[in-house]
Amino acid sequence: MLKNLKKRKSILLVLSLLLTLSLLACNQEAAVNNEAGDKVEYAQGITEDTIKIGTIAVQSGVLSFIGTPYVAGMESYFNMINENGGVNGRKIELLKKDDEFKPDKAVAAVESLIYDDEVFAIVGQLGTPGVVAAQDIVKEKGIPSVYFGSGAVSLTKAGENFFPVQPNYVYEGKLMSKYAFEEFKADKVVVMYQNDDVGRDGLEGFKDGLKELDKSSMLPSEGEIAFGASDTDFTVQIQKAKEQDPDLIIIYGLGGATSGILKGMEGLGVNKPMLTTYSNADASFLKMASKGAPNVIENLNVMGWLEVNGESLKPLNEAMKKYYPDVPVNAYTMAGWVAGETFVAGVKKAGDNLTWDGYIKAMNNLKFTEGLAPEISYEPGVRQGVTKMAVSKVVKNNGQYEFKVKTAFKEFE
Amino acid sequence: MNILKNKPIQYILLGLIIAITPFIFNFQRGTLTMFNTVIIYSIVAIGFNILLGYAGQISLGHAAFMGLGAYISGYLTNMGIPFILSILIAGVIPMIIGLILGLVALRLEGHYLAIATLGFGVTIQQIFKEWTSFTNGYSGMRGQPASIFGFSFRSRESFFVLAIVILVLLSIFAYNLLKSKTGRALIAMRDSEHAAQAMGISLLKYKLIAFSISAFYAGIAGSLYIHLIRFIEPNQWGVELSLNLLAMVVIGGLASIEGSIIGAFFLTVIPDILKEIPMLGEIRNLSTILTGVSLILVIMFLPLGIARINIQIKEKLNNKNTKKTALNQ
Amino acid sequence: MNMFFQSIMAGLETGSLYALAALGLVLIFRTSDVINFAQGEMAMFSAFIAFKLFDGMKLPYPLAFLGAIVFAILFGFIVERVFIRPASKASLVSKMIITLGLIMIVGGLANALFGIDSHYFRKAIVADNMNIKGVVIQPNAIFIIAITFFIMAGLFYMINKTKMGIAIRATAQDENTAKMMGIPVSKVYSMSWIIATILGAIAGILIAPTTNVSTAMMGEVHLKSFIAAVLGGFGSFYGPVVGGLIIGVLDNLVGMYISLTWKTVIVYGLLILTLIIKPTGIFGKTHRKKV
Repeated sequence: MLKNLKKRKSILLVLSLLLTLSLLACNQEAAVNNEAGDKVEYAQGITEDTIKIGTIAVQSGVLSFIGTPYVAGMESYFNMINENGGVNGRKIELLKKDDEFKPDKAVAAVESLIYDDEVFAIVGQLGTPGVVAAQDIVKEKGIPSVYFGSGAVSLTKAGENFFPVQPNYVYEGKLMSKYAFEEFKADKVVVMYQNDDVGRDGLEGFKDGLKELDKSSMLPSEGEIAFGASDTDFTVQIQKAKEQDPDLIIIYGLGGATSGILKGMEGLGVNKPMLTTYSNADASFLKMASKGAPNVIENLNVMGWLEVNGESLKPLNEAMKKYYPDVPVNAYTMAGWVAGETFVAGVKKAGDNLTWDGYIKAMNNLKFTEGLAPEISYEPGVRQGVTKMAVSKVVKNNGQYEFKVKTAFKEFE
Repeated sequence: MNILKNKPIQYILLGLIIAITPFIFNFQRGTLTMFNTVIIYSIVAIGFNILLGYAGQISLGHAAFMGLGAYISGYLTNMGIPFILSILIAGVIPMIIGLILGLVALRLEGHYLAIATLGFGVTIQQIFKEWTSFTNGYSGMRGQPASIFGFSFRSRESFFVLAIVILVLLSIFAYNLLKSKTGRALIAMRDSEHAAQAMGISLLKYKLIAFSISAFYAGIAGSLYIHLIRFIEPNQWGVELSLNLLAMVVIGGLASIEGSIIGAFFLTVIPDILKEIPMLGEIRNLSTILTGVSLILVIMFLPLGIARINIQIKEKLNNKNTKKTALNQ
Repeated sequence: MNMFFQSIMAGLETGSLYALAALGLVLIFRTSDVINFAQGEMAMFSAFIAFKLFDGMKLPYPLAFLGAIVFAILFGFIVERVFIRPASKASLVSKMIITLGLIMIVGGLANALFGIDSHYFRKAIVADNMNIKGVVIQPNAIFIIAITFFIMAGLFYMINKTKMGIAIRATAQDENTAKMMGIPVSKVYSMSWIIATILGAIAGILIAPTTNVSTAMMGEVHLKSFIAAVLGGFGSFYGPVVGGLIIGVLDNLVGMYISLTWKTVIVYGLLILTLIIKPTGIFGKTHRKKV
């Protein structure tokens, strides 16, 4: 018995000794590895001096007008960061995949980024079809996916590793109802909406907002007017809108169709205050649309989620001039830029704890206010992205049209 | 050795070999997803080839059938109906709708048929957009992984095996069909409708057969698509895809089952390879331009399709030889 | 009632644009039996040239217009020589695929050369709108409708009354016989591609103020021009014009009085129905196939 006990004791002793030793060894190993740059401790895609990330955006074909400036904006930001020494000494290496705006190619691209290129994170995946199609794969793997070039609502509930930034269209529509009521003092509104996910989500949000504000009578059912994204003739829609004699016309559509509608209004002489989505809040849209509708354009207001002025845009404009002089600086460029900002803000906050968990934890307490967007913040379980938006009005200044912010950044409570 | 000359046996053996390659070589996952889509497009292309290559009927609206199959299969499996049943229904309903096109084709031919079917495709696509209770409209429909008797084809490798099995089955079916009386009737109709009629071939019957079978193939492929990619939306099933199907069949080789597969491979993989060449990727849109160039080059130098490359080279050599001998004489 | 007439007026304007785009298609089809899927992309390219001459090089509008047409002559010539002629023996579907490849090449080149931005391009006629009893009439719209009919008449005259036209018709009917009769068949093909490309350029430039100049500018118009050609029938030049006008007006009336969201389905449904009843288009002659 005693002998046994002694034996056990000695075994225990030996065991505990071994344990402490190994722990010590581990500790030492960790310390050593931190200096030597062992990959085991960091998540995939991280080395001592680089962070490898990937993005997916359409870069060929008809829709490349979206993806090209978007990726250029993102890459200019990373180039600028890298030139200034990177983030905590690490340079950012951006892998770009072209999915042609197709879900199957997007899935293949996301898979090869995650499994084959082994990137640390996916940053700024563009295009709702691809984003939604790849959602399960991203969720399953748990890889951080920061910023989506998509207004899909489902992203806010996709999971802890998803970090949507730009407002989704349902939310924006909701906020528009608040502005229609508070800012434009409208009693009657017409919503001209692009008959696809963009416009339909916007309309749905607008109606939700009215319901919550108890103002549903503001939008009669004849006031919901659909148009096609590729339509060339908007006469019927404009006449229907005019017939309602509204106090405010909301145009929920992307640049091409919206500028077509403005031209049509110019032709038919419709002069009503108008409000359009943040997707149209950029100088190149204004330049294109104002030439075809020089009078009507001054009735146009846009939603905005970015603080866009000469000062805030300076780094972007300079970087674009340097790296992509032939690519336009527009809303897509800014979106790409903000995607870069958001990702880097998280990396800075995570410090050297560059595991996926560490990054997600850091992002969970993020309150980033130094970028183009007034505030980007997340909390555990909260993935709303940007919620504060302001209305800007088109004004003429020295013969040039520009947006002028006319309200504070508000959110829909 | 005779048994190896039997086409169906060849298909099975080849299918087996291709199906196990992912288990031997370690393909990248993204690449394997792409190969899976190649197999899916091969299935549509075979069906389309029966229509265009054998029966001589054109359609620029076949993307709609593929989309229809995808929506039906997605909808049914989301309701809890087993995959096997869903994929069958996803084939059968487009098949029935294909009959309508067959009836249209009875009165139209050539370019008029092309445009009428194009209009048909656009109409169906528009219905996908508007009929939200069935398709979920622009927000798109999510799909489940395919599963048979509790085995889920979640991994790319297992899905690849499933897709190959279906491709081999449908290739054998196509082969047997085309060797049968029906196949000969289709070919007779392609070569001359009047002559075929004179021989007592019912144009009505065989046009209906050609359209419905090709729609069936498209529907099956659509079903596989939604269970692989697990998301679809209406914009995918438009004119662009229909034209791509046409290009697959012509590039690969009209009236050739192997050609359909080669064509599907060509149109799916070539653009991606071109994008991956580092230098080309940097110059904006160069990959698109080169894809266009490659299409045209194939048509110019291999007008009978890639599948018949050896025949065409032989012919060219023969021509040269005969010219030489003619000169010598 | 105002809304009715306004919708008709707008429908006629857009319909004319479809018709303009369709005329080039029909000309190529009638001479060389090719459905040119790239007609829209080629028109876009020419419109870009006009825009660059006007906006970039600051040429006056008429000169820019003319410059684009000179370019179109060259463009049509090159396309026919390089892409179409070497494949003259290929089957009809093969030729379709060649024009598919052309879409990628022309579209890709435009993207690489002209960038991805959209630009506003001025109207051909800039004058104050007229207002007739509440219906707004834009002088530019009248101009577009007029030029469509003018071109249609011109083509009609050329095909029916000139030597060139006879050569085109003979070639279309039977290439070999035409050759034997001493018609320079290859010249005829070349000419018809050049004329069609010019028509595309004119269509593109006139459409530009509506859709803006961008690589995607012709998408919808191009598709509708196909439909217009088929609806009216490929056999004549007035067929596509009437087809285009019908589609333009019908689109608006269905949107106005039935449904804006189901408009496309209804219009295409009517198209298919028309084709089933009259397979060669409204004005198409029923042709007999050779056995």
